[in-house]
Amino acid sequence: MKKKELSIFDKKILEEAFINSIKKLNPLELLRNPVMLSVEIGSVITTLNFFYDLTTHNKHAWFSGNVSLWLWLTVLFSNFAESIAESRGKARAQSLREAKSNLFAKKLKNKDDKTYEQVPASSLKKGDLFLLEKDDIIPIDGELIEGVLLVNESAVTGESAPVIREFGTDKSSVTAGTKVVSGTGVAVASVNPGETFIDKMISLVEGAKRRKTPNEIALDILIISLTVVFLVVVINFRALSYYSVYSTHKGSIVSLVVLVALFVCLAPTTIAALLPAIGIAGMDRLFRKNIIALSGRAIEAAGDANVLFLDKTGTITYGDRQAYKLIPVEGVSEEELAKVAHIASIGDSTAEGKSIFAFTKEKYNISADIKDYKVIEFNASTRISGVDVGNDQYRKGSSDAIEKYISSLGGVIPKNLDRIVEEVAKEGGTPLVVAKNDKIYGVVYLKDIIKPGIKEKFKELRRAGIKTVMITGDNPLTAATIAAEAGVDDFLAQAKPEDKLRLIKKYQEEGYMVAMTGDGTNDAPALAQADVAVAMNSGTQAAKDAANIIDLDNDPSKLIEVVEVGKEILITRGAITTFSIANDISKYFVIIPAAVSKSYPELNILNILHLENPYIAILSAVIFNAVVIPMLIPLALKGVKYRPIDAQTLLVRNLSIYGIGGVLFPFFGILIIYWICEIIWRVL
Amino acid sequence: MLFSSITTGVSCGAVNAMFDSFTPLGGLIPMSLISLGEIIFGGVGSGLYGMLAMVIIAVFVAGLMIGRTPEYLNKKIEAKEMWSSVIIALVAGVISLLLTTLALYTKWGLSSISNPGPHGLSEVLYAYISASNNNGSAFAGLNANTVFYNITTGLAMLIGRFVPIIAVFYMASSLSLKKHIPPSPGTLPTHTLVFGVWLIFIIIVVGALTFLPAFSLGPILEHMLMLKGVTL
Repeated sequence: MKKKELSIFDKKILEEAFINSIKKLNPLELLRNPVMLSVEIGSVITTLNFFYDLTTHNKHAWFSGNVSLWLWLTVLFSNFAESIAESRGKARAQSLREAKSNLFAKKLKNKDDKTYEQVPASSLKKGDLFLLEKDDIIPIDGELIEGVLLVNESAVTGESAPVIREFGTDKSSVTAGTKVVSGTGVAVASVNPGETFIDKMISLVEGAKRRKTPNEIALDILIISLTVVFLVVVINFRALSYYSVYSTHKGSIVSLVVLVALFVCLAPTTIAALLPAIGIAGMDRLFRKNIIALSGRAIEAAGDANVLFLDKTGTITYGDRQAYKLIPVEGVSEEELAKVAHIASIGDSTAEGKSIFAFTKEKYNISADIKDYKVIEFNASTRISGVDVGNDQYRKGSSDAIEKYISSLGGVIPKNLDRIVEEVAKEGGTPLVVAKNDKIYGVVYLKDIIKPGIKEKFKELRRAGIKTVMITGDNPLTAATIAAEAGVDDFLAQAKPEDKLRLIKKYQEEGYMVAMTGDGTNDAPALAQADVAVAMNSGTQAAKDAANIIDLDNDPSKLIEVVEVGKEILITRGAITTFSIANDISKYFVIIPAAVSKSYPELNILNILHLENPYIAILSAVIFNAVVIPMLIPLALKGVKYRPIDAQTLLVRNLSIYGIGGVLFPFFGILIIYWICEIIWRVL
Repeated sequence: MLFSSITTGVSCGAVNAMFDSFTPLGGLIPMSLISLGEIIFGGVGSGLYGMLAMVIIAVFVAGLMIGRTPEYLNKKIEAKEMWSSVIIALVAGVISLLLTTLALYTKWGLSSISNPGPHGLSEVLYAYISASNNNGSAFAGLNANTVFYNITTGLAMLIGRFVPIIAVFYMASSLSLKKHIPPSPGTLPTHTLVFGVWLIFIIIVVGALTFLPAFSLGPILEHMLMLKGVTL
């Protein structure tokens, strides 16, 4: 996928969002958002009032007209916020889907008969077999049932290095749109056209199929209840005003337009307008990280996850062992050992060999200028590799393999070798013994290198109340060493799928929410059990079926990012709700004195902004209420950044910004709008 | 004065002076204390649950702001708890405002008011707020012993007092069935000063602002008029 950043102001997206926001004025569509529906009903009332004012030549027609205009704009801005989030999500998904259109498949009748029929990819059904050969673009998501392929998945992941996809392993799945670099294989389609992850993603972003998450439902209840309460307040206000006029025989009853304006300003329109956009934008942000969430609920659960099951390899360590230290045997210097180890690793293409070569070169400044050498490849029976230079034989291998080899040549095993080997193993490292001819020089200490920054990350997570559990196939000793070094809270060594499942259940019984990643078929039960299950796209179909989030990049460390995005969605909702409710305080102090200023000038004490013209004051509050929605759209789309700090600090921070800010900001905002309106009023 | 604040704050219902004779702002204090749902702890009967409902609303919004599904006393707050809380917190206010509206629009309601102007309005408002929340103490000055007021205040009591009780039981049953979540540094602490301030903020916004328009045309206005020496 292209990593190009989609701008909020992309012309095509803006156009589409604009058209959709008008379409969404349909009251049936607005049923999903009752608060905005009530604003729309209010707009209809004030608009009718405006036409009535026009026909009766009421001198306040300008007021009802302007209030109506800004109420309609409030609804439109709200629709626009939702539409732009949808359009952005869809545009990103479409760019992925376009790569897949117009593909052809080599459909097979059965596995053994390789004569194929060229058919459009869209005609393939789940269960159909298709042939994959060099340079083919894979027509549909599927699973290899025969052969080994080297596949370039850059179209989907952006990663240019080709990856191996092999039948019968955990990496047997092939993704539509990616290209076969070499090899031949037969795959079975695992989905029907229109049911791929991308398609699911698109339908998730589109309004109709989007289901509200538990949190959204609870928040909806709160804001709808507040709306109902404010409706009652406004009806009551009319009665109070009626009574005041009745008993004092002065002033006039508050007009319908003012009542609607009061209602809309008090109702939590800001959060109601932005709530759908926040959820959609969260999915879109994950999608930008090449993560596809299969439900909004899954992302929200990720925000709640407080135990992360992390695979050691790829997440905590780089996965391949690297040279860490040289330990010579008695009577050999480190430099001598370094030289032998360096030469023994010339031409070694394994990650370990390369790391020994680089380590000795950098740390001991050794550069063997040898042109004429013969590489002895590692072979499974001797378990030794090395290099022959002239008559000298440089060898390296595990301690028992080298000891056997040296003994067969009649060499002596140094006395302290066993002790060195044992110590390295105890520390969680892998000892590699190096020899030249029949003499053992020492041990290269190979170590699983912990990714830089991961320890700090775990520390942050712990402060945020999230536990980390390392899952590894290593023996308990090695696992304990790496766990201590990386700073995880718990580890599971020699992990078998059953053990993983058991540990997940244990945490869940204690009330924790568990998030994990997996790719193999044997991970599927654990994935199904976990609250947040991220499957690698390269994984087997079983794993992907059991998961609720798919990572196209196959990078297990991204689990942490999923959790962060989940939290950001919740924080953004909370922040905008706080802001929206806090705004009411200032709006009250603007509208109430303005609404009754005619009957009771005494109440002007509540008019703390000293707005002289009550009509302009009410209009300013309505305008503020409307424009605050588009102003907050960027925040809703980007999300409030999550910082892994403890709950108390985070609360103080967000409360001061969105709570105190939410009280003060409207005073300034309304005042500025008032001044602008007043200038326009005077000019006209 | 102190007595009246305490009696309304804790929903006891006893009176030592008729609030009707207080200065307007003096009458406002007991009225706002009741209208907040008598949430001060230790109140006779309903004090604690009113406060708990406010706490749950406050925890919900604050909990979202720290990026977790909000939880209180190690239990998750979801749709059912939200429904119950808003009903407990808001039903009494809504019913008193609705009935005040009704009283002010009908001649049966208006005929009982002995003091015209904003003071009469305070009397009616107090009658319903008190009936739906408190033990039915009266502001006096309002002839409440008419068929209209007997029926409507009865209705206010029925809805304002008993609907929240049903909601409390509903919430209790829902919470008791939920899984216990172990506390961690990521859990929102609800015993801190910050949370206390936030809670008061929510109480003011959710509870008090509901009544601000009514109060402004009742006691607040009356106070302003009194300062100016206007008598109606």
